[in-house]
Amino acid sequence: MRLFRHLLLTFMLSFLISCTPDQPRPPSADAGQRFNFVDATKEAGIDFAHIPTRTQTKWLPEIMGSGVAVTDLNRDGAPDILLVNSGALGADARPSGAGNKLYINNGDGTFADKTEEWKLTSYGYGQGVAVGDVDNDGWTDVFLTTFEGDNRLLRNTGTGFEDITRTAGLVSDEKWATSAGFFDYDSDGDLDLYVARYVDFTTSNPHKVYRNRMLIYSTPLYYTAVPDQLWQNDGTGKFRSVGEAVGISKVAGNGLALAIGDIDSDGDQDVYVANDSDANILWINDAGKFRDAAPTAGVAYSEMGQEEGSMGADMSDTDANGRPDIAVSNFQEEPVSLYRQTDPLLFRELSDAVGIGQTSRQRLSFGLDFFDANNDGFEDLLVANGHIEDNIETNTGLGIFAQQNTLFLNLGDGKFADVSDAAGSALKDIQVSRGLATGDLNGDGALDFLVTNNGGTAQLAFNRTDPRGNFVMLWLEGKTSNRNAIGARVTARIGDRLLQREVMGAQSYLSVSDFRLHFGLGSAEKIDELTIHWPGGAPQIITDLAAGKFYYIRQGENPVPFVPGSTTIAP
Amino acid sequence: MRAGAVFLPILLCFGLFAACKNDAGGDSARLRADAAAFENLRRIKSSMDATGTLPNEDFEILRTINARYPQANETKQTYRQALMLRGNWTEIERDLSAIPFEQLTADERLALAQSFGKLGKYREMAAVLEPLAEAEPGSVATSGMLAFAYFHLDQPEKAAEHLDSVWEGIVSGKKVDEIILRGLIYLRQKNIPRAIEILKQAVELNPQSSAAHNALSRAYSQAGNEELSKMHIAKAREQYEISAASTFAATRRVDQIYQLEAAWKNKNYPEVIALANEMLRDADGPQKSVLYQYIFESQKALGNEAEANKALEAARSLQQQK
Repeated sequence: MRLFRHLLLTFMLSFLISCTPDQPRPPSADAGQRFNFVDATKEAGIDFAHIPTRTQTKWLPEIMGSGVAVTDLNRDGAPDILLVNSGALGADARPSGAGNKLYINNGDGTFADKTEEWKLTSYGYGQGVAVGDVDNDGWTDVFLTTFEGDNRLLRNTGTGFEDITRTAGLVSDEKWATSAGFFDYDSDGDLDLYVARYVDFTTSNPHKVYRNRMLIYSTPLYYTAVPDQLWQNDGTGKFRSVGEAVGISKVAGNGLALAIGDIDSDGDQDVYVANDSDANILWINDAGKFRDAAPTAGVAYSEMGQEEGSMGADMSDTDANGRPDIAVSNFQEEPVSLYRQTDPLLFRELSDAVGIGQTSRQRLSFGLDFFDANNDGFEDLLVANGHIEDNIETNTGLGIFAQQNTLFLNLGDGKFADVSDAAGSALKDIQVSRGLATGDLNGDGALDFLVTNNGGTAQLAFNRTDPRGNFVMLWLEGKTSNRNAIGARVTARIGDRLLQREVMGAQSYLSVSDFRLHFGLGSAEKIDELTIHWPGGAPQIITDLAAGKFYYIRQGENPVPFVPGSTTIAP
Repeated sequence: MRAGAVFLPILLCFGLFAACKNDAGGDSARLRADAAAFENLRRIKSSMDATGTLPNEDFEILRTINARYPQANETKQTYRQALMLRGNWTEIERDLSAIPFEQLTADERLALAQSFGKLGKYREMAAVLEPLAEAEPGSVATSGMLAFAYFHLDQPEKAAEHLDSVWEGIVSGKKVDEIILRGLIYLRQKNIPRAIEILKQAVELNPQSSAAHNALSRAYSQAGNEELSKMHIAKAREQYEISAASTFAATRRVDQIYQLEAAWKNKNYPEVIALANEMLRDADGPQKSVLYQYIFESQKALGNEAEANKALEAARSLQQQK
């Protein structure tokens, strides 16, 4: 019997799972800046709780969480909040209390639950959300993804939603959809839709995976990857699938997250796809056809050529060299990858050299977002963390399920410092975080954030950092370009500094941040010159924009100051 | 390829080192006097050596022994080996950092450096390794690790310096990961012809390395040779898929073993037979023999003498072949 057992154990020789523990960190760097992100969930009226399925068999979708959109749905200049819930896997209907929720901004930093009034529906096992004005009527519409692929397009009428999925031609093939994003890939002035998709998991074919003889949630390696989708809008709000025609269906890679932006600064939007345990993809848009440039650009794998468990993604020019960089959140023991674009379409992964690697290796990261947290003009990085093994602590002692979210301060010299422990009460709320979106939710010129937590309450954090720099906030609206101005690249000249921002149709994980562009000005009193590169349109130059204000800019027209939440700007 | 993979052999050998440390508390003698603890320690060590795994219950036993006899060299070695196996780099770092640096053996310093690397503390890693490299200039292991540390710190010149200082040893030792690293440094230094030359060497030495193919594809692309770049992208992809399939198969086997054990424990003999038959498809000789024994015992328990005998016969025949 002894030999018997020994022989059985030899089966397991190649089964070696390693994991880096969640460990004490060195004291946070103090770069002379204290942040103050205050947990304002209750005071703001947000009472959303994410309800996932929980089974003994540990079905993969249970652990994935859900997304959030921060977007202005009623054109009052104050972003609203839409939170996706998950519900019951395999059930016909969501259990009571497990529905999606819509919170309309009252304009004063409080929110009213308008889920019923706006007829926000909840189908399937909810995953992600994308927003975009698909019919260019001025009202931002909503797209919801689900595990079952029963995704929904909800048209915004200005006072509510109507489900136009079927009439829009968005037919389901019942595959697991995760993140989605609107962008105008063919530069025809209307918004098309990219849908990232994961694996062919079904509740009838779950693989069991063990660590130290304890059942854990599986990795996607045991399933077949599902190709992503691209839906082309014909301009009337009707869509057709063009994935094969444009070249994106030929690669499938466990897609979880999207960052959509003009990575090669050629005027059209490209798509970065974060794939879990597979090579990431960088779809370069060449006149409406796509080619994957990730391997040669150096953003498919880690710098050492290892595929990583990628969960989230974002783009921004973090070192002010005029070229957007890419950040990717990964599995614990792998760093959040910061791929810096040093030459056109050539990246170096510099996570450790810039100060992101050490902390991020101790976390399993999902949503992430570049945003200027202290209005100094440098994009900081916020990361939502939480493990996928709910028994990680008892099973291995190598980490914890609920993990602290991380705020990396951009020091302005290309480096970052982890300031999470000196960033206010919101960073002390430790949950199993997944989705993340940013935006100025209380109209004070500082960017706030919202995090979704798997099986937990959503968290709204107001940014009460003081002192902080001046700001300018821009609400761009296209005329010949799509109404949301998704894809608009804006360069602000402030004295000798050039800041570049872009309206992005997707970033983070299952989520989307506010489309309004935020410029931190530091101590400057104005933007000297603003150049707006409208997608498919002529550049527009505006001079002398005073700090401390919100501006509405219709394509080709002069900026109009507005106060968020005070008046509705007619479409 | 990761630094972890590069240095794993060093770490797995680590348990053999540090045998001549002081045992001031006489823990070693006390451990030997505690027959149960000593036997458990011996059993756990040989199980780790044989299987590369460590169940939670054994780790807990080991932890108790370590707490009771912390100064015994046998305990320390086995416990550190267990921590490495479980990827508990924090505890290894804590353990080794608690010892005054000058008292650490060279191998312990390498292990400390490795734990720093796993935790992303590359500055600390380099600081530990620099004096070692100075003391032993020809050490491929030390210089290789230093090069990885500096590369992560975006100091490619320093990384190159350390690799070049032991380059002959790297090549003769067929250290593919270090060769790939050298190629990547050339790539970062924009010396594309040298990058291609070096990375071709890596691919020749290990055509199964997806990292080597990936790096070479990047180099060819930067040289403007899209055709060769695409070819190596495809090869990297192919190797990645092979590796993913192998991981899947290994994990699936573990899953099946646990199910088989559970079914046996629950006396669910039909399930034992079904699982064993399924596992036989991918099993090798000794594994097959064990599986036939499961089938034999289960058929016997079900009263199927003929089927039981068939399984016994198969097991015996396999044992004879062995």
